[in-house]
Amino acid sequence: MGCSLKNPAARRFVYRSVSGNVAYIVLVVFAAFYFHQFHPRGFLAYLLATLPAIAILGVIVSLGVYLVEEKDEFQRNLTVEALLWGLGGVLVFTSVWGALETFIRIPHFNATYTYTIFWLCVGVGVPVLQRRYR
Amino acid sequence: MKERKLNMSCPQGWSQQWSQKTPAFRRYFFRFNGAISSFVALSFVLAYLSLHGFHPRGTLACIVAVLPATAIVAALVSGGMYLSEETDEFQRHLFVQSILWGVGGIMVLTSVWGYLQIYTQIIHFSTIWTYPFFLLFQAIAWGVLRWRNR
Repeated sequence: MGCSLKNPAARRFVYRSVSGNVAYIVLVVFAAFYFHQFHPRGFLAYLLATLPAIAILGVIVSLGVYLVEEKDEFQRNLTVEALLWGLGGVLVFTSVWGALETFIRIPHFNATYTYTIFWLCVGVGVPVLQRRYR
Repeated sequence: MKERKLNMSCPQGWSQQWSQKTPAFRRYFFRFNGAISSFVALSFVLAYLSLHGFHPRGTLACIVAVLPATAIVAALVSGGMYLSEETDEFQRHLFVQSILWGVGGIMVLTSVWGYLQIYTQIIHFSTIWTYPFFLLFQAIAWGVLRWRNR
């Protein structure tokens, strides 16, 4: 995380995660297009809704592969800390929003944004960690 | 004096398993359980109050909503502390892997549910369940990883 792309493991992680995220966008657009055009139901609807999740799982697996391949223990720890930042951010956000939904009238949270919020929180965490360890 | 034979076929007791845990894991166990107990207690209290007509507004509602989240932060901080205190690299690796599976699990669940919610008539996913689902996925992954590496 935040290391230069001279590191082969980090380079592979960037390629894999970018590919995964591009696949995610393509699959989301495809699913939206298909639902609007053909209004599928039943099994096909479930299958189409699952498609973007496959790309998400691919990105998470690429993160796991990076942690196995990365030889620099410091970089590995930074990545894990950034992961915890992302996780903490998404869990706090969803927990607070869910509780507010129970008590006051606020719009329902669309669960598909969880993935975006996770990476936003990782993105906030990385510069903080870099500053702490510079 | 007759030498006593050890009964090796006897399954390990909980106390024996516990004594084999690293000190870092034991500390994590107590911290994590403290945080989770607070989370469960706070969630029950809030659910009870909500069912009995307690509907705060404004700042009070925000404060009440943040309370269970503080317990979640405490649980995650305890996980972070475990990772920094654990000297056994293999145990650390297993723990990180279980977190990744937990993250993957909730991302897949919320993504699939979210798209089904948009395009089909499925009930709304209350995001308050994200953390319990994360714990469930992490626990399953932890069990599977430990079984695989036994």
